Amino acid sequence: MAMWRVRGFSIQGYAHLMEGSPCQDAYRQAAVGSSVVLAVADGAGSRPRSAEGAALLVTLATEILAGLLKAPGGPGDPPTLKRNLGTAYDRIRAEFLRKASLLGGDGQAGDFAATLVAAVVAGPVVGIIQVGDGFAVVRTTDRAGGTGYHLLSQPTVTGQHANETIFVTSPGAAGPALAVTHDEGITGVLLSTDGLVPAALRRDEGHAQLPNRDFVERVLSHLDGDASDPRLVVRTMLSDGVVGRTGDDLTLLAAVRA
Amino acid sequence: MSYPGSYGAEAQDLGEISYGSGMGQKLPLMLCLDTSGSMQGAPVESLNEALADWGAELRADVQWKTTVQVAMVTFGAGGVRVWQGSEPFTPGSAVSPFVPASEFYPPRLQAGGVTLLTEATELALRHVYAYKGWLKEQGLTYYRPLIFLLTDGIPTDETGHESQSWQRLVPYLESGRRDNGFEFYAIGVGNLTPQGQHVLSTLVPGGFRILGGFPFRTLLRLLSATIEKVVGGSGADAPLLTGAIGEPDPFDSVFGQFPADE
Repeated sequence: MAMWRVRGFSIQGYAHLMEGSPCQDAYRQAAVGSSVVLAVADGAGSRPRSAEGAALLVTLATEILAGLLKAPGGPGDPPTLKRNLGTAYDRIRAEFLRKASLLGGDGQAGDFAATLVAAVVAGPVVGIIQVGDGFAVVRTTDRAGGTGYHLLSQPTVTGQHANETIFVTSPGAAGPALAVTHDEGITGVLLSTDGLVPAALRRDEGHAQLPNRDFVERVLSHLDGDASDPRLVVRTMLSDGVVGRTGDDLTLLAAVRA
Repeated sequence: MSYPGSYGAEAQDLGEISYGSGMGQKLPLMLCLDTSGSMQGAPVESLNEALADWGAELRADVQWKTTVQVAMVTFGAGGVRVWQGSEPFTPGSAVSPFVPASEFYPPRLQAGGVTLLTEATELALRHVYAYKGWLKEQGLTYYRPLIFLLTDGIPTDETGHESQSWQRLVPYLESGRRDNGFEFYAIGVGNLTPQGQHVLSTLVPGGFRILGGFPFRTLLRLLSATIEKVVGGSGADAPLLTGAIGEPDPFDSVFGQFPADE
C-alpha cells in the first residue's frame, strides 16, 4: 500500500519560455511497496543533448534505486543504506556514461551532462544522492505537532558564479554527496533542481542556506490535501515572485504522506 | 475543470509567498561605450535612441528588471565617466554604480573628446570586481558579469594621439577569461581602421566583432540575447558572443548583415 502521494512538476524557466527553447530538466518516480524513489535532473544548458541526458539519468536512477528497495533486506539501516546508495550511484553513473556514449559516440557523454538529486523514501528513512546544484528538503512533525523543514542536501556550486556546478559526467562526479536520515516524524520530501533555489531556500544571517519555510510549507501543505489543485503549484512556480529571481527551468518533485 | 475543496478553479497560485531577501541571482552588466569625437552627430544620436529603447525593455521584463544590474562607463565627452543610471556616479555616494535594471534610465550621451579606451576599460573592470566583492560579502549569488566594450576608434592618450597603453589591458583580460571572472565582448563599429581591429582582436581573441555602420539596436538586441542565455542557465561555457573564431556562432547570421566594409 502506498504511504506516499507523489506529485511532480517540471516546466520551462522564464528565459526558456521567452526564447522558445525546451525544458531541459526531468523528473521520475517509482513506487516499491509502501516506499518510493524519486529523482530530478537538470540538463546543462550549454550541452546539446542535456535534455536527453536528464531524462536518461532520472530513468536510470529510479530503476536502480527501486532495485535496491526490492533487494533482500530492503534499504537496511541508515549506515547500510548510505553504503548502498554509494554503490547504486556507481551503477547509475557507469550505466549513464555507457548509454550516453552509445547515443552520442565515444567521448561525447559530456553532451548529455546533467545534475542529479535522487531519494529513497522508505518509512522513517530517507536517503539522498546528490550531484550538482539541486537540493532536497525534508519535512518532519514532532510529537507535539510542531513542523520542521530541513535541508538534507544542499546545492553544490563549484565556481564563483551561479550556474557553475558539477554534472554526473564531470570527472569529479565519481563521489556524490550522500545523506541519510531516520526520523519517524518525516511527513514530506521535496526534491528540486537549482531553478527553485531562490524560491525554496533562503540564507540566515551567517549566509548559510536553509529551506524557505513559506514556500516549502505552502507547496507541501497544498499537496497534503486530497483535493489539491496542481495548477496552483505551477502558477506559483511561474509567478512574478519566482520568475523575478530565476529564469532557469523549474522542477519540483514532492512526496507527502498519504 | 474544477477541483473540490477550498481551492477554486479561479485561484491563481498558492498565495503571497515571502522569499528570502537576496536569494535572486544577479547579473552584473557593464557597458563601456565610446563617446569620442568620431561618434558626433548621427552615431551618438542613434546610440542614445537605442539605449533608451533597450532600457525600457530591461525595465519591462519581469525577470531582467530584478536580475540584471547595469552600470556604464563612457569615454569621450567629459573624459572617462562612470554612470549610475542616468546620473554621473560619485565615488563614495553609493556602494557601486550598478543599479537594478528596473531603475536603469540611460543618460543622454554626448560625443566629443578623445578615445581613452584603456582608462575606461580599467575603470570598468575595477567597478565590476568591486561589485562582485560586495555581492559576495552580502552572501548573494551572481552570474558571471558581462562587460560590453563598444568603440569606433583606436585608443588615444589625453592629447588625442594614438596610444599603445591598451596593451597593458591584455594580461588583465586574459586572466579574467582564464579565471572566469567575467565575459568580455568587444565590438568595433563605424569605420574602424585595421589598427583599431588589431587592438580589439588582441584584447579579446575570438571574442570581438567588427561591424559596419552603427547598428546599435541590433547590438543591444544581441546583448539581450546574451542575457537571456546566461539567466536561462546556460552556465559557464555558453556559446554566446564569444565563440572561438572558426567555430559556429549563433549570432554570425545577424552580424553577417553588417559587414565591416559595408
